[in-house]
Amino acid sequence: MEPTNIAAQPLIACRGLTKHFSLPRGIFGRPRIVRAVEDVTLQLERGETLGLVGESGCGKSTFGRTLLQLIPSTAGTIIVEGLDVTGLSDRQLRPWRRRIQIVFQDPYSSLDPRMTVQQLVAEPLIINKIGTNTRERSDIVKELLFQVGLRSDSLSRYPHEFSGGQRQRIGIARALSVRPEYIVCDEPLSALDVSIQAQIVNLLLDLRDKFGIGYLFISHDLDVVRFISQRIAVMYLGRIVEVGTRQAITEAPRHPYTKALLDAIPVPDPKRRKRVTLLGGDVPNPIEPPPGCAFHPRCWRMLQGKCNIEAPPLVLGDMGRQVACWNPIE
Amino acid sequence: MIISWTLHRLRADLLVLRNVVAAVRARPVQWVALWILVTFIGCALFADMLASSQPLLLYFRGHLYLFPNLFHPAKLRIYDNELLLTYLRPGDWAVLPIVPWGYNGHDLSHVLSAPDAAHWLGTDSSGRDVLARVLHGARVSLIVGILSVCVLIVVGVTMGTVAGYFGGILDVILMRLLEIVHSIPTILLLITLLAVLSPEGYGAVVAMTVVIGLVWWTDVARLVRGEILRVKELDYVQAARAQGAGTARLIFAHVLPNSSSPVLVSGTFALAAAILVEGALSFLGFGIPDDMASWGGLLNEVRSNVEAWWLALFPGAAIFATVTAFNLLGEGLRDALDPHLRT
Repeated sequence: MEPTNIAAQPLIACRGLTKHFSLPRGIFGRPRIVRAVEDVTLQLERGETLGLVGESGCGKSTFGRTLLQLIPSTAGTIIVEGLDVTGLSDRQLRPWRRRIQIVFQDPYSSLDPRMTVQQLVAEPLIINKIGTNTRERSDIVKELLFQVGLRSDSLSRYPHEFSGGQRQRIGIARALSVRPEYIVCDEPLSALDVSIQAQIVNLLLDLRDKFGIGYLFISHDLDVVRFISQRIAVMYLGRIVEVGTRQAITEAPRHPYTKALLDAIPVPDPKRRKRVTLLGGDVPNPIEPPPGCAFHPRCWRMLQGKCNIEAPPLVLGDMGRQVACWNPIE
Repeated sequence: MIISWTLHRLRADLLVLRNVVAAVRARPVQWVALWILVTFIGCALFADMLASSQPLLLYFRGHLYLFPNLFHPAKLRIYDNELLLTYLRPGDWAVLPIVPWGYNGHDLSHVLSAPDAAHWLGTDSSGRDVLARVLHGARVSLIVGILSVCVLIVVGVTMGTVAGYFGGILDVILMRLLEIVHSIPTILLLITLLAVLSPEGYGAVVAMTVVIGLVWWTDVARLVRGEILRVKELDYVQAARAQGAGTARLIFAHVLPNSSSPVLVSGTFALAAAILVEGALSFLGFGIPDDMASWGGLLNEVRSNVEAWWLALFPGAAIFATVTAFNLLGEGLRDALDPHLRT
């Protein structure tokens, strides 16, 4: 990994970030809690793309939204350039929200159906008082549409007139409009066709090169993540199980779960057979996670008497490599 | 800023309206209903030009009077159409309305007469023209309907928005208040109030409007609350939050415009119901004073003149047509707006 932007502290550092949802209970029932995000400590650097992978329902999206304080966190701190933003009100958050934007998974529900493209992309400009008048903002919007590869005659059209990929481009233009330093991409590809996915990935890469934007790229598709990311974090049931550079993660995974995810990537060559580790079973219920390491019921390297009793801590190794496993692959 | 933004969005709303009109147009029944309503609204607006005891245009003793019935020049106040015609000299002329009777003009030579050439829909026991009173009665009915719906939408949308958006203890309190208000019997409350206040003229209309509006907001509030609970969690609202939008912008620019279509439907049904309440109260003799024309008031006359079928048929038909048309239109709107809810 080449150092992109050396600064004293990371842009965003979250420490012990936790999000629990309490479920409604019956009269005599015990309170039930979904542990969506559990004790996540991550550092998001300027200009760096951090991929966050994990199976569906493991808390990746919840993490992204908690990070932006769109949903309040249960515990832990989020520090943006040394300033603790946890628990601030929307009004207090406004100055830094401009700097960290989000692109949503579903390009259908993330655009207000009653607004034209012009209004959608200009709204962040109005909120953040960029551009003095409608004409000036309109020029900015046209420029943004050009950058994301949309024709400028789309301005007065409504979201339902566009395809999924085009809508995602509108969403990206909207996020870009306030010149953010960082964008949280919350599964921006999973609602798109494969051919369109490639276009959007290339667009994101172009924008990274052009503006030096950092991404938190949330996806369940390790194949895409390893293509786009410089650093990769693997999440399982709300916890980070392994963090490392792209090369380290993809070539020498240490956590059994990372290995299993890598082996699950299909290889487009029928003749090549590799020895694969296939995972059995499902992601456990986050309401009642298994004791000890949450992964132990599906793990082939499980140490009886250790993994099923005590949860492994995330241990820092060399090159910023972190693994949470009692019996990591060497 | 928020207001100018909201105005900016009106264009989008007009576009939706165009779709709605197209959808209503595709259904013949709703299209007929719409035209019935347009006709009645026209009657209410132009009642003074359709039925009046004074001419629309008059050349009299060398002066030209335009709409003397509306502006009432002192010189002509004593004349009604019939009297005036006998005073016309050669060279004078008058353009009379289609129905040359006012809603309070007494034709004492035709008391309680069945429909004939002079009075197309007959007269009541004071010799007042039924057609003139039906035309002017449309005013009272539609004003009560439209104004009370305006009041109930304002109250209902406010309550529903506050309860749905802010939630928590506020939601609990407002929903309990809603249940209390919902249990108030409107007609009973109105009869009591009107009996105690015994308002004059349009005072009765105002009283009805306010009471209906303040009691019937509950349905709209429930609908809006439910829609807001759904919409406020949608990604586009969260996207606006992520851009730093304040609460006012979130509510007025994103949440409310996308939660408001059921209000239109519910409001249309409430309008029909409000017209029925006015009719019922006036029929019982508690509503609109007798010197004003109202459909329910006309029906009231039948109670003492049972054989005068025309007093029952025509105002009854007017109430029936308006209420049915509003209900049909409400159904049409519901069908037309439904697919838009799932954009």
